[in-house]
Amino acid sequence: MAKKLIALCIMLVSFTSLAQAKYEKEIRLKETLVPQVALDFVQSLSFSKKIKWYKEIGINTSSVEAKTKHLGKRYSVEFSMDGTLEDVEIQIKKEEIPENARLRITEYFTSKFGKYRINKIQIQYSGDPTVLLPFLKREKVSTEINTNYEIVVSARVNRAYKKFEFLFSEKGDYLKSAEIVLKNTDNIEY
Amino acid sequence: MKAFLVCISILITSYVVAQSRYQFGLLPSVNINKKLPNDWKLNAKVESRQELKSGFFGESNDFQYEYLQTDISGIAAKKIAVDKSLAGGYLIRLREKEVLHRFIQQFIIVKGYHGLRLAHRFATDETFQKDGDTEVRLRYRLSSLIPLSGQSVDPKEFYVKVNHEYLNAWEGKDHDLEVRLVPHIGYNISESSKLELGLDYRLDSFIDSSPRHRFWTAINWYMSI
Repeated sequence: MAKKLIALCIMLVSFTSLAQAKYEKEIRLKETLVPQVALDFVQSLSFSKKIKWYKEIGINTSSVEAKTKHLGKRYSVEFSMDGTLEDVEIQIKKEEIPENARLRITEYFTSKFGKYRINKIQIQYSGDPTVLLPFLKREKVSTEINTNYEIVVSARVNRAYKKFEFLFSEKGDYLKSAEIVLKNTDNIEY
Repeated sequence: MKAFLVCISILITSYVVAQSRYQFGLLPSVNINKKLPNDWKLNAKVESRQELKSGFFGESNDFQYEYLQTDISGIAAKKIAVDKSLAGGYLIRLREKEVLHRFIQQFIIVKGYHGLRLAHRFATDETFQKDGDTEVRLRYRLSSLIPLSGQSVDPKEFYVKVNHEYLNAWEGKDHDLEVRLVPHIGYNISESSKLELGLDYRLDSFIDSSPRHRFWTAINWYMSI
């Protein structure tokens, strides 16, 4: 009986976490409106290509984001509205996740969805900017950096196709997830 | 030699244009969409076609308003993957002196890229008319949606939409190919309402007769309920 109750609780918690919605609206931001500290950090990364700035508005939060392509990879550097660094995300391929973590993540998705499709993977670095900067510039290896994987997955849940954003730790442990609110595409379908 | 080639090109172009027919008018439409459980969706559309001017290029023709037709259609769609859906429906075309019935089948793929959304629509339809053969069409349409602010189209933002479509039509022993190019400027009023203004250009009859160019000023209103 106790086992059944625990299983029920886990299922409920799991569905509640999946039910959390992720909605984002991005607005292009002029460089003049970007906090100086954020501009300085991104300039220090010496990206070769054009940097586009956005204000990202979520359900409860807003942030400033710099997007660019560097050495063939898409970079996204996120700051709070006052310019405090939140994280740096780099788009990667599934094979770039170390094998042990990859297996744990695959196991997690298989047990949760059965059939699923990975749409996007980003490696997410966060930590003190003074530690993160030399690490990103490949000048210094550091253990003080927090590494996670942000993965967008599509799967069929409760007889409907949905998209989710998952966050896993460096070791492949599940941290959190949210359902992505899909954009209305009626005007290009009909 | 160059002058000769230029002269020949001008002559050919003037001949083609002089022989070409054109039609210019209005094509307003209202599109209502309703999401249903289990990934089903309904689409209802009313589109009216009104002519303002027609004739041959090079001729002088006056503006003359003429109501042509109204299409009323209903389509049911079911998602078969997060980005793919199958759809089927029926359209009734009301003209002054005739009524046409059309059955529609569609397979749609919608792909999202950085700052761009593409939709591939593969469709077939069969049009039945009282006095004439059934017309069968095989269509492919590529729709591109480009947000003018940010990486996706959000409420209170403008966007550009371009449709490009090829339609093969068979009626009895006749075959024709129609090519459409439809650029729009759109405004996302809210999560459930979009307004678009564009030029719907259609070229047909160019395979074995004089081409027909049709230019419709399209005004589309998409609503979700």
